[in-house]
Amino acid sequence: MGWKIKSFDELSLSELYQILQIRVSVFVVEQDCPYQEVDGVDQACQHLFLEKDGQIAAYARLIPQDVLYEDVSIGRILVHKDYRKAGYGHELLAKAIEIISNEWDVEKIKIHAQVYLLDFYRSFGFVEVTEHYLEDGIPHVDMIREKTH
Amino acid sequence: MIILAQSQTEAKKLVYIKGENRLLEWVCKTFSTIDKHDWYEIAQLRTEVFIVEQKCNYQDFDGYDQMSHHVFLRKEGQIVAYMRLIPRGYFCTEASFGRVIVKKAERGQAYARTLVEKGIDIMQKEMNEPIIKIQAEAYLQKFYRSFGFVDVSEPYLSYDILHVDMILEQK
Repeated sequence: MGWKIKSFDELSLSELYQILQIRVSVFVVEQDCPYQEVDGVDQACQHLFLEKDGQIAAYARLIPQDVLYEDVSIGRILVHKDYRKAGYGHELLAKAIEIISNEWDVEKIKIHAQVYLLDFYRSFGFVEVTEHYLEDGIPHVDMIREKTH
Repeated sequence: MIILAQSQTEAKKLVYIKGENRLLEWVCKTFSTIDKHDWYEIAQLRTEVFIVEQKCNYQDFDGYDQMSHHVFLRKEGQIVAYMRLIPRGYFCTEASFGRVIVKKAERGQAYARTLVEKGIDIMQKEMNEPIIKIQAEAYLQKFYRSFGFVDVSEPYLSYDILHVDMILEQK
């Protein structure tokens, strides 16, 4: 129970299964988007998740530099349908930023944010650096957060 | 190349066909014995075919994988064909198989035929499943008939894809 951060090698097969399952249920099924969810990047990522009642209630992957983008990134940010509106999304992103800033010692985080979550990311200090654009049919905007000293 | 099998049964499940400068390795694993990296590759391949190629926003990881056997073909280190074998009583009353895939770039070499032959063989001989019922995509009806499957339903839509139920009984 509680928050876990694991590399791909540290994940158990059953944790990996649950992670892919919840990601597909949110990003493919719920968002009605038949895209390559299992994209081959996960082996290089750290996986941050909250377990509740034997399932994954919240999840994000932390992507090192030069894996997807030049900058460190956070992606596949989700809260399980049954656990929304309870503040887990905030807790999740706060933890992700904390790990990247303090443990990875990285100053700059870049994300491909879904536009409807703009305000959510702004509240963490992310600022828009592109126009809105479509990725897999969903409006996105690139945002960057610089560590405040 | 030497591959160590964990048991006699597993050893029997491994078949090597050495072609010209390439190695084809057939593997059958239960979920709990599958290597995590292999599983990720299978998940990636399943997404590639059933979600992206078939443009279908469905839950591919449906919770039937844990009790299934997973058969796959590894060619030069890459998984290029796959299917899962589900024991009776989970997906339907009868045993079943599904998620039959050949990677796009590897089609047209009859890997699907060998794959399904091996799948049926493992189900009948090692899983003791004399009756196999499948939800076949309708465009593959002829392919499955060639293994002895017979239609047991009218064609119907599942996730907007035309299917037909088919059964194979061991003689």
